[in-house]
Amino acid sequence: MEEVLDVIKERRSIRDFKDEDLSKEQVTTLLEAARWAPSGSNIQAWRIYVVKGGRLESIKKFSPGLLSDPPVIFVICIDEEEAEDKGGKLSREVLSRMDVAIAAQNICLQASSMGLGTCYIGSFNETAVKEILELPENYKPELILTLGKPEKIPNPPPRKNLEQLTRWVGWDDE
Amino acid sequence: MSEDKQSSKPLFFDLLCYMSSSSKGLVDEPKLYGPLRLLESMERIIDVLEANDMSDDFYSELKEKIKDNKYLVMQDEERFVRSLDEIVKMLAQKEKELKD
Repeated sequence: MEEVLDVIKERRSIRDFKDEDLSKEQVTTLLEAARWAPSGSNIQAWRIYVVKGGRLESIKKFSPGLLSDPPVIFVICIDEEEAEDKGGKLSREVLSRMDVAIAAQNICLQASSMGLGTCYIGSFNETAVKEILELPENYKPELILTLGKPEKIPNPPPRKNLEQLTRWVGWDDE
Repeated sequence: MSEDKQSSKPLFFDLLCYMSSSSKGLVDEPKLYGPLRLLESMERIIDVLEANDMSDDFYSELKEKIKDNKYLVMQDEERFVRSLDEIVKMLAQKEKELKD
């Protein structure tokens, strides 16, 4: 078992996938990782569409950020009706989006620990995706995750150092 | 319609889908995604040329240059912007060559 920090540091945004399918078992493990993500008021308003084949090809045409050829994508949606009913405007507009991001990161880290690659895709046309997947009116597609076996693993882009990102408050040595 | 024109239709359709989605997306996306989407469109236009046997070594080289540099936008903005000039320079040199 790898240390969590090692998995976090090894994860990359993969934009070049092998032409190999994923098994249903692999995909189910990733979905299970998402299922255990925390959510605001435990609403769990995300819905994940597991897409491959012709519908994936169609979505790709309307997703400028999706330039690779993954065998599978997750289209992660928010059930805005459920979010609003159970958590109000704050949940619909803010917390449910954070919840999607947290669930997505669970998926990415689980995938990385399984030797699989992922990439967050934010550039897609919401109207087209809703049409192609025939989503209910109250489902908002929030994020696409590409999934597959990496062909190339890029070097990590530069990271800001801890001093730029952190403020220590109330510590004795400050 | 000729066979060549027929074979380009899906590529052109994909390009139109890509460009229309890009136009909508760019309203809110980072400024540097504009050049990225245009580079990607250039690459796809070269795909159409290739599918119709209208490409040549220059276009292949141009396509490779685009492919090698487009993702710099996420890693190294300065190099990405420099590569935009290099691509324009390639085309300007080709233009001179065509005129001479």
